[in-house]
Amino acid sequence: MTQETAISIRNLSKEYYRIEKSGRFSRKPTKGTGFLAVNNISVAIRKGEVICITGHNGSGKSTLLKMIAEVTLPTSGEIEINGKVASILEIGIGFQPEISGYENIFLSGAMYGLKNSEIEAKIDRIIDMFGFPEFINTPVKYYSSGMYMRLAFSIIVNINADIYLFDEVTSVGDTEFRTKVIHEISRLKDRNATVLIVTHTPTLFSKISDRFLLFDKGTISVSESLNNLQGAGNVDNRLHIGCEKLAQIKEIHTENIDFNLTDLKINTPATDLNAIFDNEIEVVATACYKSQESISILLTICDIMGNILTSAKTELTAGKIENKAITFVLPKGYLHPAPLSLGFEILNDNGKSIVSYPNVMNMPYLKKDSLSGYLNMPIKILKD
Amino acid sequence: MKIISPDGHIGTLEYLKSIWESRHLTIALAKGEIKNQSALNISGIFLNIIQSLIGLAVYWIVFGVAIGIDTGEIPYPIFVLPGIFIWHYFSAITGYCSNCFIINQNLISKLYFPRICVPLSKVLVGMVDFIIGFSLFFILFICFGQSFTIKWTIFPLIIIAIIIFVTTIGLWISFISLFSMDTARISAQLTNFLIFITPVFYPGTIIPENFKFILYINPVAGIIEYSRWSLLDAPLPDSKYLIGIGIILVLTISIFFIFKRYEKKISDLL
Repeated sequence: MTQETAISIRNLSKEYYRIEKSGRFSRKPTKGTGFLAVNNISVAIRKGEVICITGHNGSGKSTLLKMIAEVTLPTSGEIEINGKVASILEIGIGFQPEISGYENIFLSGAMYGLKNSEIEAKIDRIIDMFGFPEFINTPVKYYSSGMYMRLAFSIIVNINADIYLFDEVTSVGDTEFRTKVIHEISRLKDRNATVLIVTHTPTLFSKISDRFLLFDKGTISVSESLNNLQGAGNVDNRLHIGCEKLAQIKEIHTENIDFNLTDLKINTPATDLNAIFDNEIEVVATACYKSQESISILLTICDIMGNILTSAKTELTAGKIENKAITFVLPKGYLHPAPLSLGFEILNDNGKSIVSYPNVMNMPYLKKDSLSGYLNMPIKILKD
Repeated sequence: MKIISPDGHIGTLEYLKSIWESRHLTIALAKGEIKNQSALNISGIFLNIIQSLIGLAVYWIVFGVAIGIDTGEIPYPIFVLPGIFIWHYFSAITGYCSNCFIINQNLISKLYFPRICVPLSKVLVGMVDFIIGFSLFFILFICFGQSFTIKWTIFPLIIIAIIIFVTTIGLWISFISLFSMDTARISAQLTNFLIFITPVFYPGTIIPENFKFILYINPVAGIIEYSRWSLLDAPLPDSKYLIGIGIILVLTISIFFIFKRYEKKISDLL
């Protein structure tokens, strides 16, 4: 990565006005006191960096992107930009509903300054990324919102620019699309493009982001990792905890150890969904295992992207034991009602991972009063 | 390297360059709208032609036959058509531009491009009808057995004048619409009324001398009279019609600089 600056923001502020009285008949609402949507921020973004911007609604994330994209002027301060900017503040702008997806590729491309010949050279790639070649001649008004977004996104990543601004691109779209977005962003990163992503799900981008920028009421804090951000700010984003390294899959020697799960129970004193996440959760796994050394079992809870939300560890003694109930206690405050998956990790004495069973249990969407899901782990007989 | 600062200043040459560089966008905006319109009504272009023909027939009956306006040697339909398609272009642009920023608000608040491209694209959209109108005129011109004169070679210059004129009006209307939501309605009323003080249905010569100043300061009047002179071999119009053309040039230059000044602020004005 070069140390060349792509975007340099100096003492940037943007003032908006609250409208105090929305009179029923008066045409002009009274212009009230001003407030700073972006309050005197300064940050330098290097070329080739991927920056993940997060924060509450109305904290100034999008306003910053709008100013970088020149859509709106700052009230004070300045931004220095080196390179061509492609701004995706909203997906699918410039699409005409009545005409086909194919024609819209050219239209939307032109909005971003692409010539027809440039689009023609990339059309196959765009349609391939879109993923629904059979719908390409259908007017976009018949598209589902996800298809609409995929088409728009496919066009955008094929624009040649030095700086890309994405605002909430993953808010619609399925898991596959999200994976695609992340893949494309890392491809842009390989090309040494600078990428700024505004998102409410920073964990999604935690692997590819170089730095995180947290907005709070117009001011920012910058951090190298999500963990530090969580400590620094009053975010309620339920970010990561630092057990990622522990759970990385290492060499597996199944001859030394055998572990089989026969039952998995989740106990919680809470009766409704919100209370579930405000309490400690007890997971009881019944297992048969055989081991020559004492081991410890790590239970991990991941979100759909495989980011670990929390974990709990229990020590086990050596030997061959049938139907042993192993209890894990998950600390409160790290889970959320989105789809979760449970995984087991078997560690040896030195804390080295020897066997990994990721995704043992899926909890698709949590019901109102239960934490239930289905088991993925095959039940097998212990070998002697 | 580009610096974004609160004043949003752009140099004149830089501004002209950015407009030129956004020509693909302007064309795409226009194309999108034309395609969108013609996709809505399948017989798009035919409808336009039929509409013009019906309009022409009505004017012929009312002004040519019933009132019997004297157009000299020239048959009334041929006489009235240039006025109609020029007027139609003007009134269509007025209509399109009076709400173009509001319609494209979403685009403007999400993507930066020279804002002037929005009204400019409308000028291109209106050009489709203008070309249809002119082709219709051309066909009728031959059908009525009129002969071409050397003065037809001047008509391209007049077309340029027409385009400059409608662009200027479009830019002004779109600019005013940023400040008042009523612009669309007011301008629609005004164009309905203005057609009667413009020599569309009648030759400018039938207006009494002491009211002629109305025509002289009316730029559409000058353009229509000069196009009749060029296409129909009508007598050369009074040189006082150039006053209207002069007014247009002043408005053209002033609106360009106004747009340059407000360029970056338009998204906040919406």
